[in-house]
Amino acid sequence: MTIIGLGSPFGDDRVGWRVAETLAAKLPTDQARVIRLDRPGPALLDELAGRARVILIDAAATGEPPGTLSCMADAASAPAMDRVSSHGLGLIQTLQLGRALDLLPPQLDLFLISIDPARTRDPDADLSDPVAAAVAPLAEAICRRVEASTWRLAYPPEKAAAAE
Amino acid sequence: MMIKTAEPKLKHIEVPVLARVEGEGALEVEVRDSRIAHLRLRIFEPPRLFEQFLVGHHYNEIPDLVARICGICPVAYQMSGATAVEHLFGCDPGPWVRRMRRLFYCGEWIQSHALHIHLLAAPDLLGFDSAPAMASRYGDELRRGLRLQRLGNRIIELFGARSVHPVGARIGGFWKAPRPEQASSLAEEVACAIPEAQALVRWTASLPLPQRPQSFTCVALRHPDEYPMIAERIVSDAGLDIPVDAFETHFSETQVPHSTALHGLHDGRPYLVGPLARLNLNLDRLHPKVSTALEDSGIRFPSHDMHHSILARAAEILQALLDAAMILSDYEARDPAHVEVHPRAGTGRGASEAPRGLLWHRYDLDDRGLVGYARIVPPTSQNQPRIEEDLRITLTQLGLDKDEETLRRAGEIAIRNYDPCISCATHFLRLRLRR
Repeated sequence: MTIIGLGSPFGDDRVGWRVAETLAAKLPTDQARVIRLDRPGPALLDELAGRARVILIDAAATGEPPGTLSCMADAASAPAMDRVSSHGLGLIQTLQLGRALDLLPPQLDLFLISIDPARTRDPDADLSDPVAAAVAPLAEAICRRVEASTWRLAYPPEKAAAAE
Repeated sequence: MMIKTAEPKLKHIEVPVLARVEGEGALEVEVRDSRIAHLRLRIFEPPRLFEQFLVGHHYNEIPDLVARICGICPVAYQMSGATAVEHLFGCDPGPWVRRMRRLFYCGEWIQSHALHIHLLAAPDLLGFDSAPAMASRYGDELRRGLRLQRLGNRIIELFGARSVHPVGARIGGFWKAPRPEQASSLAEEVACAIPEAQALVRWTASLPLPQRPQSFTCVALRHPDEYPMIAERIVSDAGLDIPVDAFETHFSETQVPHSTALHGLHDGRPYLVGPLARLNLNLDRLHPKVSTALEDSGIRFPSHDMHHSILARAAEILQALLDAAMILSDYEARDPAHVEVHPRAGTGRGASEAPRGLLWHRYDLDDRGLVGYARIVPPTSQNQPRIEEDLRITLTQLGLDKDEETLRRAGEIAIRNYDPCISCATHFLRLRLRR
């Protein structure tokens, strides 16, 4: 299992990292590999390719109130609305490219935390209250998912490695 | 609906600028009596802000600060900056550092060109909306492109610890030499990628490239022996041959009201920098295998057809891989991985060939080593008048009576050949047409 928090050090955009940090502290390293990335694009595909199970966590301007959690089971099918960056692909486009090239893990879950884009401009700002309040519930929900799949570790080590 | 939040490194910039970072340029065309009366391309150009950020900082901070100017070509900014300061200090970093800098730079050319060819230019040329749309028919080519891009990033990481905004470069060389075992494992990957790059050259030559040569002056660096990455002379196909110190005498920049980018002119005229200009002016510096690959492509160089830029990029990927293979083949670590410098006050100028073209830096340092004045001339601002000139010709040849969508698409393809910073977005151009 690989867990990837996407984000940046700017205000509420760091929430993906914060959830990843919480999970890294809670989950043993043999249960989940937790990493933080600063942008989607080809570098994200490198992390996804060849994996069996990946959970992605990212902040998103969904239009819902800040802190609202949502889960997209088939993110690569979502319409690509995210061509914001001038230097790469957005998250959905990256996933679409990955799917077209058959690089995506068989199981890929995307967890989104709604944020207000206006709260992503200050590099010193911490998470706003409603977004900070979403970190623990989301981390716990992901922990439960990871723990529900720990039967894999009952395999001999080499099979467990093959399964992940 | 989901909108990814904007890129982290740009978020602190004021809102009016941020809007232009979002992968959009705007083209305004006014057609009067079936002729273009006005044509203005607006592009966002970030380095101007950085020149002021640098003032008051110590010269040792320059490599790490300027790396933040661009997420795609941080190495170029580091190399031009370090070279400028070393020129002032009369410092020759020696053959080991020069070779390692070339290897570092090879990584950047490979990753930047691979990204541009596969994710940006090829979908245009093959008539697809985006790279994901192209993937079902050209999956093998895209996978190859992503492999090459990853390899380029890994070469950058070898010295920089990370591929985006690498931190390993310093004035005088590098903070640390890679371990020999890191270099030898990368050498194997580079060797395996060379046939892939040869296939890439063949593939780009086989793309349906429109044939529309134009007349323009090419400008690039020139090295006594090497295909230029870091070099001391600037040449053109109009007979220019000057040291990098004389750049300001021959090249000017003008502020135009419609763009945050300054417009670069050479003796008052637009000119081209970038892979096609570099290739045209340095055919005799190519590795023999690259020369052969280009001869086999059936496309003749020097070429003044901007659509051949994609082939020039593919050829430069092959060149960079061959250079990287050679440098890695007899790699030896060095400690320290830099030479000591002897600071002095004055003005230092330096240049290197960023993936997008000539990148010229100037720093005025005081006797404490602090920057009093900085000037950075990036490729995009140099190419902007040339892009506008190209657009006038391209749109006129296409027919100004064509519908807006056709004109917008032709405009995007024309602009994309120059790979300006805005060109990474799928549909980056808003066209405002007044007839």
